[in-house]
Amino acid sequence: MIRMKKSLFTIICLCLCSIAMRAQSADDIIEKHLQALGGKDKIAEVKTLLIDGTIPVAPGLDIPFKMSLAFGKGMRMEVEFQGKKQIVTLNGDMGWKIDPFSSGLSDPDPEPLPADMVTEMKPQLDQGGDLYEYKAKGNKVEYIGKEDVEGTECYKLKVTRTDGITIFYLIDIETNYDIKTIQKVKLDDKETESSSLKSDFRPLSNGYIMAFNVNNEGQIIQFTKVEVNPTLDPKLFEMPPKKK
Amino acid sequence: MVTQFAFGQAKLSSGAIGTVEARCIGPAAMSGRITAIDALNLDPKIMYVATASGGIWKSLNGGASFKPIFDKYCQSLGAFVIDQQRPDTLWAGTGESNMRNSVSIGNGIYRSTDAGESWQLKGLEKSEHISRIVLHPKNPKILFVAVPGALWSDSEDRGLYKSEDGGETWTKSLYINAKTGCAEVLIDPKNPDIMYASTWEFRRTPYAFQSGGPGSALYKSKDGGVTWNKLTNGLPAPPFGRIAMTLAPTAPDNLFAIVETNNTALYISSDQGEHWKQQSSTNNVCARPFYFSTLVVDPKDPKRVYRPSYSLSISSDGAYSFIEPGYGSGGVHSDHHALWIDPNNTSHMYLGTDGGVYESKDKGNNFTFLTNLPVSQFYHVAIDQQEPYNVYGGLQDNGSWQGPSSKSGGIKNGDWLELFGGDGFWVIPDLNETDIVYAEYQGGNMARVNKRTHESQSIKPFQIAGEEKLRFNWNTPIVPSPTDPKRLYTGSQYLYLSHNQGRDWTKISKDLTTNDKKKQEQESSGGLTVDNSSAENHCTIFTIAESVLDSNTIYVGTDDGKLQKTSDQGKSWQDLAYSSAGIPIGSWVSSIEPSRYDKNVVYATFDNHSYGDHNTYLAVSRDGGIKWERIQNPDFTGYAHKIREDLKQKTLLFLGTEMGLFISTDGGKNWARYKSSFPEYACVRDLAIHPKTNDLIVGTHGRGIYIVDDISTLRQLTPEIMGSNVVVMESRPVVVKSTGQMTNGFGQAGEFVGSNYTEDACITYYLKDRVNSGDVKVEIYDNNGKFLYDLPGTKRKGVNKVFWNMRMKPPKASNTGAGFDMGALMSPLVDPGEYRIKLRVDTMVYEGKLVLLEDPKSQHSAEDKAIQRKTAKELMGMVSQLNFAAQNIVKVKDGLNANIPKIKNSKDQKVLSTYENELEVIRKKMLATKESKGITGEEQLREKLSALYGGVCSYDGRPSGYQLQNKVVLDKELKGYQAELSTLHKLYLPKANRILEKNKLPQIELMSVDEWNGVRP
Repeated sequence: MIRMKKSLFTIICLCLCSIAMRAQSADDIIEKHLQALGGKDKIAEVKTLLIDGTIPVAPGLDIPFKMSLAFGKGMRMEVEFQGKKQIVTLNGDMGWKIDPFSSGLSDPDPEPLPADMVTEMKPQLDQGGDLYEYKAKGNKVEYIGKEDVEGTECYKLKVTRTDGITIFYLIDIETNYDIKTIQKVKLDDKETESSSLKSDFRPLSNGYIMAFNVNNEGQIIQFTKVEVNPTLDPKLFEMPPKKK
Repeated sequence: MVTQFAFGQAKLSSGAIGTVEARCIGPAAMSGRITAIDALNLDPKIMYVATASGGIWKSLNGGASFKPIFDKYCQSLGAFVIDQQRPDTLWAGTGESNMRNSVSIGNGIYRSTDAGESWQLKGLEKSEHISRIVLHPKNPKILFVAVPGALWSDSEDRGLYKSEDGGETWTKSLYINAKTGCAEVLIDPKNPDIMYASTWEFRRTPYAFQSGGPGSALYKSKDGGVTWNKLTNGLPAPPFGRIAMTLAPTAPDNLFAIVETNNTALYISSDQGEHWKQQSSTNNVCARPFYFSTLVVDPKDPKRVYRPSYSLSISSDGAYSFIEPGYGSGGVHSDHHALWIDPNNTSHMYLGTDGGVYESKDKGNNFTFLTNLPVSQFYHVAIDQQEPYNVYGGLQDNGSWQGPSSKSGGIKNGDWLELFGGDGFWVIPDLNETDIVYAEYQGGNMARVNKRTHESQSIKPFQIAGEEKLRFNWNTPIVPSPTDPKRLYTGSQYLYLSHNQGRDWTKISKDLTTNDKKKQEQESSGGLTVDNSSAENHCTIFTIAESVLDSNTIYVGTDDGKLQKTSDQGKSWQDLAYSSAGIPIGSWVSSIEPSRYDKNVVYATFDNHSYGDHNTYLAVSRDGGIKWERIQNPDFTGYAHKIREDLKQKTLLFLGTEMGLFISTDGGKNWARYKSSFPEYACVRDLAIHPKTNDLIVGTHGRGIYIVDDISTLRQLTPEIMGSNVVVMESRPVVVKSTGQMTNGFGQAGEFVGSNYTEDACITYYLKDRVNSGDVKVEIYDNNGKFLYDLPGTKRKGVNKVFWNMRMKPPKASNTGAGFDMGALMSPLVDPGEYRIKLRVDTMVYEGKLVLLEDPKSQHSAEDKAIQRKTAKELMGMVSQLNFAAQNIVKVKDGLNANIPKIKNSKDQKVLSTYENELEVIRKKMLATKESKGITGEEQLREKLSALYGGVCSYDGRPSGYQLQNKVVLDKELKGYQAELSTLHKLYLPKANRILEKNKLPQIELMSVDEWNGVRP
């Protein structure tokens, strides 16, 4: 049976937030991480992304998805399965979804996302992610120490966002890629933790290096194609009217 | 075929072991000893439980679920406190201070500033035992730590420590001498300059315990711990032992102290300790002061005093009198060590015992057991030969138990069976008579237990005329012969052998111990409070090991340092000398492992911690025990409990210590700490290897039982393989069968459930380094080279495992119809046989193979299974055909609907509309189309076919007659629709296309099967 994870959207977004680092102080680690991802200039160039990918849900069964992301503006994720399309969208400070996977209808009306979920997802509109220009964004970063991630030695950084969300970045001391993130979010009076392993780091057309594979506690997301700075219609992010 | 690119040789590392992971099977049924509990005052749902040897556990939901948060550190905790002013800051003092014989040690105080996400060691590394941490109520950078200190030796690293800079530096606030530590410290919450502390002189030796001495006293400071004065007015004459002490938070002039003396009693003071008076106290209030050191006053009511001890005593009159609640809700495990009371709702409390945590909502009158803390403290493990096999073991204060190594739906608390009472140690299943186990409680009180009838007969050997009194260890060995399971050994100071299930014993040795009379005075052990529980029994046999290669050769180890050998079944004995290997004479011989590959090779572990020496002593002799050579490694931590040699690979060794599990793949030259889903400093007391499944079973004292499934992967981790970049490793053949329905009910909210090993096939490969660039895929081909599909590969450094459910690619779904096509999510199992594996790592390809077997235990005949496979595949074909037809309907309908409004001629428009309507009629018969938020229950051909297909796929035997008949009916229905569609398309499609052409609109074409296969719906 296929299990669609609610946090799928977030996982992919986390992948986009790869901004990197290494060394003794947090700043030093971040500097090297960003350099490993192509450098700050390359990160700054990326304003929009159009991503195609697949989600393997069972042997021989992959589900395609498409994601449109305009940093600072909006994000739209479409997952299609058996002719039914789930859409989850952020548009500035609000979010909405069309979710045939849980509604029983093939084409249900759009409905707003809970505020907690928007809060959880909104930082993903942050260009370059938590570590890029982190001081200007108001994020607090603390170097925790070294930690082993599946046998690979990493630097561990704790980032406290201005919205109070805590996210840990584990940065491979050799490659300076952020191979793991752990995000802690409080939703509906319940703290949830989700961790993502990132791999398949590849350069995009402008030289920015991004993880094409994210493994969120067993649920894998594989990017197949990433287009840099496509023109995205702002209407993509707007909630359509209900049918009646 | 396995291909590899060799780049030299490499040593084993924790990272290389990779996903050869352990799974915890619990149990949490009896849980384990708890030492401290704290929760956030502002949000008590966030709670922490510190344990005697199972680390720290955190709950975010008031105990509905827990997760361990201290798995990279010492598992023994003596103190734990939240900085309530900065609730993300936690302090953990390692080293339990309930100073029983089996207490573990710590290695300092740790601080977390992120609510347990990470920890930093903040000093006091040599403290060994920490009993209390208190924070200054106004300035949490100031903290005091009560350090009783070393149990087994003199130490200057004890006393009361103070830090004024959040643990960066420490000074001794109160120090008596190298024999006396600090057991308790209190700060007056209203006037923090007023403090109280109790000092405690105590010592254990392997054969005695002493609580009390001139160093023990009660102290008061009026200047924040700078100077201290003894409190004596109204207290009894010294010497004192351990003093448990507390104050009333809302009226802190009121103090309460249980002062251990020759006549232990509770004393109270109402003037900040200046004057004391004795209260009459029940036995429970005064019991075992060295072990029960907790006294708690209600956070709001200064008259309500709780005394956790054997049971919970409660006073509502300021400790003038106590009652013991009857617990109408059922029993609570005895021996209480921790009590947390919600300061905002003082009816609500958590009680920590030798058997886990209990919650009360009515001031301690009734309790509910938290069933989700698998911190069980095993001393030994054993296994049987059943499938799945059972695991057996005895636990501290929790008897002897048996549980399954796997169970449909997971291993739940109720799956564990209690076999015997008391403190449990060795539990040995009788391999010839599956109803029988041998179990014991402390001091060699062993029995033969019938699991079916629950009868037990004592089989403890007794002293015979002319013989010295028998001395049995607290943890007396009961050991079956590895060459003949009908032979059973046990030992006092003598070695015994039984051939009849313990009904009769033959003494086959002289006294094998030092028989030092000075070490046999346990009746006066305990100090001020006599405590002769058999825990200090000494000059006894602790270890027995018969050689697999020669049943006449038996090694025996004692708790007083004797390592003895007989080569003639006990007729003569040889006292083996090991001290030249650098192992102190007199160390406990904690385990002996005669090699199964070479009669002259024998391994042994030695434990000298009861003389204050916590080094890891492991040694090997290669000449039958004459010369010994110590095996050392800088990564070793903790005194050694168990050495185990692998059953199939002679260079593969496992070492369990008080602080970790270590693995060597080269006969002991190099070692790696095992930490693959395993607490890195777990107290590993025993190890067993299953001869059939190749599982390593790990008995921990504090984290229950872990199973490392299928260590055949470790057997392959040669230096050559570890030096290669990528290697596809051999995986054990796996049986192809349906896993059956889970019997898990609605889940076990709030209960720990141990995980099972997957029955999926496993593709195993080794990566020298993590793959960050490029993808990793596992491609599966049948033996003819036909590609089935690929699986996403993991990319971690070391051993990786990718699991395959051995099912074919599911049929393709159409993108029409209401609800989901369940048939497109199912598929038949692949056929048994050899499968080829191609591991793609970025652009490189590495090949291997995987063998899938027929289930040898299947109840189904080969003919029945063949019919099932054929039927399942035919049904999958029918699902595919139906979906193909449905998708073609959608394609044509879409083409028609897009163009009908554009047709100007009404007659032509009607033709197209009629075609579309006729198609829709058939579509509605082929699959459910009614849209609803509710459950429509609509069943058309697709739904009926899915149900049949799922039923046939999930049962490996012959489909039922009904299923086979149903298939014929549905096939007829499918063919009927296909025929109708064919007729309809022949009738209408040429006409429709002519109309479209006339209107210069795009033609409609039926999709071919190839197109269907190339298009993802």
